[in-house]
Parts: sequence; structure tokens; C-alpha cells
Amino acid sequence: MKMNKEPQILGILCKWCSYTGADLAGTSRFTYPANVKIVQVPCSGRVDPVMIFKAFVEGYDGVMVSGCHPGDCHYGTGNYHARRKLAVARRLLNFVGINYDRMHFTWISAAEGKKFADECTQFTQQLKDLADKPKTLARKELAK
Amino acid sequence: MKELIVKAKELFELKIIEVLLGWKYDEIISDVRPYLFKDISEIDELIYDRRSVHNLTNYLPNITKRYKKVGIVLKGCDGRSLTTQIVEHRINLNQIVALAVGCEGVDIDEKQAPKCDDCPTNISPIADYVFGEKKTATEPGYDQLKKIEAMTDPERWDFFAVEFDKCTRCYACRQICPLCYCELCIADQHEPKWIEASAKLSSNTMWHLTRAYHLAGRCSDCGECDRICPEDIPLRLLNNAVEKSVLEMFNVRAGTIPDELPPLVVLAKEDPDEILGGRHE
Amino acid sequence: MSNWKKLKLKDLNRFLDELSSGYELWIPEKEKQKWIWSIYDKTDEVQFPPNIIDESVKALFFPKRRPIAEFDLKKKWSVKQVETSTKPRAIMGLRSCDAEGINYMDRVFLHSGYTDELYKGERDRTLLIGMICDEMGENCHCTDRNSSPDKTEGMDIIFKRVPDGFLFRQITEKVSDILNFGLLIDTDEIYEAPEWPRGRFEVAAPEDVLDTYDDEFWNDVSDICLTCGGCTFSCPTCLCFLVADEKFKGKCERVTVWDTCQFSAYSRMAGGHNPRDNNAARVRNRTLDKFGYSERKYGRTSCTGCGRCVIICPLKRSFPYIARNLTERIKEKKAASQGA
Repeated sequence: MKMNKEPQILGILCKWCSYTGADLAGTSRFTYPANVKIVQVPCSGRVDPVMIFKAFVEGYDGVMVSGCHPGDCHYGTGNYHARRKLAVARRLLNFVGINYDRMHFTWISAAEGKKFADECTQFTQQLKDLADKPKTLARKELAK
Repeated sequence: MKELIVKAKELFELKIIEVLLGWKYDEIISDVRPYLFKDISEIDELIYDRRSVHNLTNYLPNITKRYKKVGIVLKGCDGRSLTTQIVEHRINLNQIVALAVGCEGVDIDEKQAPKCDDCPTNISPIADYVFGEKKTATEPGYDQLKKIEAMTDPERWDFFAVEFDKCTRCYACRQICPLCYCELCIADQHEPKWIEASAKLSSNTMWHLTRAYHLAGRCSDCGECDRICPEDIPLRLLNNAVEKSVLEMFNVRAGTIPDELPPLVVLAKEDPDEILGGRHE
Repeated sequence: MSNWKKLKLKDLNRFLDELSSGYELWIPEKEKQKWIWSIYDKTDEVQFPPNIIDESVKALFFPKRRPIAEFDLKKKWSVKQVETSTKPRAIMGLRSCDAEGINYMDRVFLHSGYTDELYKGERDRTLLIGMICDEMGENCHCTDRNSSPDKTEGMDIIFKRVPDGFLFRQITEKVSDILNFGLLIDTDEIYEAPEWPRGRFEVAAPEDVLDTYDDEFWNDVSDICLTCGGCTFSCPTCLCFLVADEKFKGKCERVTVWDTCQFSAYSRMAGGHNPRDNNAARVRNRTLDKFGYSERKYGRTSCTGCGRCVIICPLKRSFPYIARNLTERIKEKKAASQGA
């Protein structure tokens, strides 16, 4: 079953590279799907997997995290920490039934506006191709 | 465990330890329970056998505040959680006298505990005195885990949704875990409220994922959370899932090597980018 | 002819079917070694456990998460109180300890100067069909708490299992129609109360218990207690709650959520000070509340002797044992002071 509504994506972007990259995508007039809602964090090392869990529980269909390329972190080492944490979180989420493909981790530098637009397009398409997310995950309690 | 009792008496006599944390048979509950031995006259009641399932290291932080020198009887898995607690400076190693026993496995409800099948070390990595034989480590089988992994995504979610929904959020899993010791637990925080207080599927999911994730690379698979959960939620599955991915990706089994930092605080430049993408079967 | 009526074993399902047509019928059900409360479903095979049901009946009146109001963030003054269902409900198979728990809940939620409307709603629509236990369980000690398995106070109907069926008796006037179902036949059999065992977990008088506030005893007790919330959540008379606002996509609810004095966050104040910041203080608080403060405040000690805290305790060293040890300690102290 394909998803019949537009997937909602939470983009968590590091302030120094990826967010600036997203800015560049805007100023360069690259088009990308409007499904991505962006949250800016100081560094990808700040991305606590709890944020990702929360995004899924609140009803997002996918989460995209992006930071500086390894070695380019503004704070030196943030993205190395992020890589380990996110790798573990991703596997844990897959284990409880939220597919790997609902999480997308990339490195986007401030100069890669085009890459940002491409990644967003690609990820949106990837989510559209996936079957519906487990229904009960979105908070149904209030709807009762 | 005669040698254990003799040694414990000797340690008390020489005033090397003030108190000893061990097990004692309790007639009232007709079972073995953790007990803090405060006097040499009580030591004869010290028991270690297949019923000694509890992880005693959880009590150490409180007890080391009140006593300077604490003896403790350790199984392999307890020793692993002690190692991690020492690396994290929760406990001062100088205050501890570790009596490591060669664990032959423990029983829950008269059956061997499932954790014992996946045990990498039957003797505590931290030991001042060792009683018993060291067994060669076997590769973890993760039988239960593999059954779940064989399911499809929706099946897995349906399975866990039922389990998480049962949770009453009594936090017994947090309290009994020797490695869940934040001064202010994320579940008790108000601003931002990451994990809502009420027991319902969404916040229970948040809680269980967060709990399992926070134990990544630290959990020694002592199985206490799984054993005590009043609603019988299979918490060990989540712990094992994380443990297995840490083992596969970083080749670390928590607490088996003293002084080794937990993998998630290690700065690993050499990690391949592939761990973040693609499928990992 | 006695004042008991008999239901034959083979008629049980027909009786329940008839009952469930007029009532939302809750009965005990066994799920994975545990007895829980569930709504009667005609396909179920009905069984009643010999003694307590593992899940306390508290949750049927005061659920672990209970919405009390709804509101909409986008609209001003949109607060709407949640209303309880008015469909009549019958809970069948609860025990005297459950009824004692309900009695205590009434004192707290109805007769303490403020009425909890939601609780009142649930209470008013509910009919209590109690069952006399076949035998006392391993951890049961209601006989040490001024009660017994055949105490009928608080129930509307009581029944007792006999080898070939059930004996029913009406207690209150609320429900005369049920006992007139054709399935219940007059009988000469009566229920004779046996001698119930007692004396396992006796506890000292409230004022003596309150005197132990500064005792060393509490430090010893707390060495091993984890202060998890297991005992409080399973307890039929632990009624602390926390009020939280929860929102999802602009729709909001104000809910009450079970809370417990065993958590350090329970007593944490704004600014970070925590008056009960160690295990000993928290265990002491709960014990003194059960056997002391509750007596002062609501006129009865709140332990009903159901023993659920022992069953759930990860260390099997729960409150009844603490109470017993405390009582021994009080006796010792008294003997010592008299001797001196």
C-alpha cells in the first residue's frame, strides 16, 4: 500500500553547515518538496535520539538529520558523536517496527545547496514509496 | 560456598570490610533475598546459589555513602555493571572489596534465566578474590531476539504496541537498573516535557525507547528489569537489540573490560559512514 | 429456606448473559498467569480465582490516566469538563479487600470536604457483586486488618462458590431485581464462615507507628528497597495523582496520572529542594501514611491486607513485612522502656 497523503518530514539541521546549505538552496532557487520542516540545532552532536523518537511519536513520517561533513565540525568532534548515537538509535527504531528508511542521515556542507534539495526530494520520494507507518504510533489516544 | 563464608569472615575480622552485601535465605518469604551483613555473627547465613538472581551493584551507591569499605558478592553480569559504574565514577573502586563467584547460571521461577544463555563472562571482570571456575565464553545466541527480528516491520510494531500499552509507568525498570541513575530522570523533567507522565501508548513508547537507548553500550544484560517488570514487558528484548547493534558496529560488550569507556562517549573518527545508511542485516 | 439463593454451575453463563444485557459487566480474567479485570464477553470461559485478583479494582474507578477536561488551544474559553458514562456497570467477583479499598476511596474522593465528580459518577453507576474467597492466599492478611474474606460491608450482592454452583445473597436494597432472575433457586444451603487464619502481619496502633518517625529502623529498611512504584501502583488505596496537560495537534486534555511518593520527583520542589531525597524517608512516608496518617485524616488505616504489594515487589520484601518488623521493633522498645 502506498502512502496516499504527503509525508511529513522533520529535518534537524546543524547551524553551521546544513542549515546554511538549506539557506543556499533557497537563495539559489533550487526547488525541493515542502514536506520538510526544519529545526535548527547548534551542532549535529546536539541531536539527542529522544528528539527523533518524539518526532515519530508525534506523527512525523520521517526524520532527516544533517550535519557538517566528518572532519569539518565547527566544534571539532560533534558529528563523530552524532554518527555513533544515530546509528544506534536507528537500529533500535527499526527493531520496534519503524523502518530504517524512515530515517535519513546525511552530511551537507554550507556550499551544498543543490545536495540539500536533492536529498529532500529523494527522501520524500522514498517515504512515499514506503507502506504506511504503523497506524497506532501516531497518538490515537486523544482521538478516542 | 564454604570458602566464600570463610573469606568473608576473615575480611570482617581484619576489618578490611565494614559491611558485606550478599544474599540470605529469608524464611518469611521462603526465598533468597539481598541482604546487607553488618556483623561477623551473621555471615554464616550468607548464601550464594542458583537463586541469587539479584544484581547487588544497584545498592552500592547508597551503601558506599554510609560505609567506607563495602564487600560485595559478584556474579559475572553484576561485575560487568560494576565495571561500567566505576568507569562512570558512580562508585569509587577503592571502597569496594569484590568477592567474585564463578556463576553457574541463575534461576527464575526454577528455570534457568534466559540471560544466562547469552552470558559472555561468568566471572566478574573486577575481582579481589575469585571463588569458582571460569567458563569459556560463548557467542550470544539471542534466540528470543532473532524471533522478533524475523518478523516484518508492522508485525514487530504490533508486538511492541501491545507490550508498551501494558506499561503502568511504575519505573521499577529504572529503579532496579544499576545504570539508570540520573539525578533528574528525563521522564521526570517538566520543561521540555520529552516524555509525558501519563501511561498511554505514545508516552510509554517514548519511555521504553529512551530507556533502552540510554543503556546503549552500558547495559550488562543482568536482566533485572525484565525479571521485575510487574506487567511482564519483555524489556530484555530492547536491551538486547541495542546490545547486539553495539556489538556488531563497535565490537564492544559493555563492562567486560575494566577502564574501557562506554562506546557512545568514545570519539571514533574511524567509524565508517555506512553505519548511518543502508540496510544492516 | 435460607436467605441464600443458589445458581447451578451449568447456569452460570446464562446468568452472566442476562446480567450483561443490562449492565456493563466486569469479571476477572486470566491472562498470562495473572488475573485482570475485563469486560464479559459471551465467548469467554468464566472462572473466578480462589482469592485476590492481581489487578486492583482501583483502576476501574480511578484509571491510571484519567482525562478530566478538554480544551482547544486555538479557541478561547473552550474548556469542557469530561463526563462519565452513565451506563450501569456491574463488577462481579471482587473481594472484601477490594470493597475495603473502595470504602477508603470513598472517604478520600467523596467525604473529605471535596467531591470528585468523575469518581462519583463511576461509583454511582457501579454495582458491586462480591465473592467470598475460597481460601486465603499466600500473602493475604485481611484478617489482620479488621476485615475477613467474608465481610460483606460495601457490597450490593455477595456470592460464594460451592461444589455444584454458587450461593447468592442480597446485601443492599439497590438491586432486588437481579436475585429474582429465574435461574436463581431457593435453597436450604447456607454459608458457614470458617475460622480464617490470622496473625501473620499484625501492626501496631497508629500512634505507636507515628512515634517511630526518628527511629534508626528506617535506614535499615531502606538498604534494600529500590523505591520503585510497584507497591503503590498495585495498592488499592494509594490514590496520589499528578495533573498534567497533554496536547496533540491543537487538541488538549487535562489528565490525572497516578503518581507515587516512592519517586524522588514526587516531593521535588520548584528550585530543586527535595524534602524526601533518600530511600529511607520515602519508605517511611508510605508506611506511616498507610498505618498512621490515614487514620488521622480519614478515620481508618488504609492497608486492606490484600497482599498485592508483596506479589509485585521485586524483592518480595514489601510493606506487610516492613509493618511486621516495625511492630516487633515497637514492642521491643516498649519492653525496654518499661524495664528501665
